Amino acid sequence: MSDLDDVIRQVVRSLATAVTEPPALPDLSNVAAVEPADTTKAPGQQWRNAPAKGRLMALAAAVVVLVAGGVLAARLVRDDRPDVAAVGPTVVQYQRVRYELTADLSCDGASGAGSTTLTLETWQDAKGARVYQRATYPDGSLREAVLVGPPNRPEKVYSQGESRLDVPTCWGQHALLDDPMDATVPLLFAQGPSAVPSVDETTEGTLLPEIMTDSEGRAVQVRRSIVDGFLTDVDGLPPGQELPIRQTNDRYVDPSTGVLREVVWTDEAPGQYQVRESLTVLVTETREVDPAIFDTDGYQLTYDLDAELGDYATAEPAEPTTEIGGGQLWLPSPKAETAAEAGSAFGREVLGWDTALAPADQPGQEPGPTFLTISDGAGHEVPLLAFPTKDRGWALQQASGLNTSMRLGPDGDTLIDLPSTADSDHVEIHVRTAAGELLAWRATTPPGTPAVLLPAIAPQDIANMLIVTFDGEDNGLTAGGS
Amino acid sequence: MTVVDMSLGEVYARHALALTRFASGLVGPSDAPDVVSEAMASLMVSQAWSEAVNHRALMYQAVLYQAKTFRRARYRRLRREHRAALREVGGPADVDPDLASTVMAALSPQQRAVVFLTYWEDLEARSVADLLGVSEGTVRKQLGRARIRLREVLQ
Repeated sequence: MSDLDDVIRQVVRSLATAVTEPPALPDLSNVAAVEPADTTKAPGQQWRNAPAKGRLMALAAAVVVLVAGGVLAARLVRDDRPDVAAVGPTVVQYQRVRYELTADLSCDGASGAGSTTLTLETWQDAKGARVYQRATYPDGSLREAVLVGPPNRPEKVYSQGESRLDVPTCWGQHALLDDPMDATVPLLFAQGPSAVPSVDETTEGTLLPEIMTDSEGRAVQVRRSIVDGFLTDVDGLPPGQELPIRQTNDRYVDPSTGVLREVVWTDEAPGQYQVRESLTVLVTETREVDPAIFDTDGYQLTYDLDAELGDYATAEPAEPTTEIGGGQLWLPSPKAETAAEAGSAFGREVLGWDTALAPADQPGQEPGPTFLTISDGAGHEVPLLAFPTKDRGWALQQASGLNTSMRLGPDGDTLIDLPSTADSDHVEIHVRTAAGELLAWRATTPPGTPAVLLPAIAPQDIANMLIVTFDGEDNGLTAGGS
Repeated sequence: MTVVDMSLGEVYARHALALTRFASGLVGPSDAPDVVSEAMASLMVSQAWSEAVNHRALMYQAVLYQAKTFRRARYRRLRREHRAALREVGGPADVDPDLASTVMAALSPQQRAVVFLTYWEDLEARSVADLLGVSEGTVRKQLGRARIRLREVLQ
């Protein structure tokens, strides 16, 4: 046994033997006093909208997490895809999720108002690294997909069937959402709940203290996040026109384990539309099925990772140079009392500027989201959006200039696509993993449209990311995250 | 009136001390009783108890989940404190529980759980995986990262 093992054992023993008496079970009368509430009709429930692409990714991510639901007894057998194997069964994790959509539309060019319910099912063969998923529409028609490779970042996707969802439309386009099976890579699977910690890492949301019930009557706690914003021409409005929207995401989790039971998105553009979507876990269980369900005869190849990779540079591990980390940069209150101070701290600590100038806050200005541009006094500027947080001081997000995307690379590692930045010499990438670790990499900026490979970390293990580009003299040029 | 399956009390009685020690490994000895109490209270109202096949594992998972929630509120303070205290970690002498707690704060809750169950309960990776409801590969990966991290902070 190594010295390290000895020391770790001593550390652990110290903690274990420091307690000698367990606590008594909580008083049951206090627990009984907590009355469940029907949160599906809770006061304050809001309506949410997101551009279709963002919505779809959020929806997919949510279903990924929903796979982690509890075990309920149920069975679903389809004639042409029997659950009993003829040539040797395959053990899969099966899940059935109810998707409900309600749209109340009064916008120009509206169509698709009303309510729709469809069933999403997934069969995941973890050992075989493959997934069969199926949507059943209200008219009974099916849409199917087989995903090959890591389940939430597959290497190939085969699909068949057409969408039968009457997608709500405003201003002549699908501005509200898309069919959940319409994603290029329908991300409907992941590992178990502990490996999908996006639920309990939703730090920007609020955990409502009450024990409530979901639409299935199960006790849950609600994690709620609300975003206020504006619709623009990107969403189909005439150029120059803006409309306010509120987007609310409620995640109903089991109060004892954090396992996700139900997700509800609500969207509201006052006077224009209200849309509510929900995903509810109905069944999660292990099954033995005929492996023929993963056959792709008659399917079309709709996604191929190999064709998507392109050229990239491989990053080297580096020491994190900032404690901040994350795509949204949280500065604690003692460090930054105002948005200007937060911006200056960002310039010094993240970009490494000796001098970071930010416009002073206006006297008497109420704390609220603020745009500010910081500069180093030598011609470099970074626009930021600073917004106050309830208990974390200020959050910063670069307002423009560095749009990044993340995708699956070789061997399941992460590829980061960066925009071309003038004078960029190298890039540092800071990651906060889903497990809470802070890691960092450094790479020389590749020419052209740069892509950087982060070895030994999978996209699904990344919770937040901070990307900083530097010139040849280590001056920060841009910073952003995802 | 919430009806609680009394078997929860029976199962808890069998594993109470082990659960509290597990919680101590996650959040330290002073906060461990509160975390265990909150975990048990949440199980009383959760449907997860009636659905669970392995109630002992569910209790460990509930304690881990409560420790994660607990950890978020203390995360920043612990990070500041552990940086100051790490230099004081010495050789093989008995480790002060507060200092040990500070060392463990360098790990994520999941890593702490894996380290505790491996080094205190002497469980194999497969058993740790069963208890926490994760894959064996996840346990090995978390343990490997935890050892790397602990080597850094202990040095």
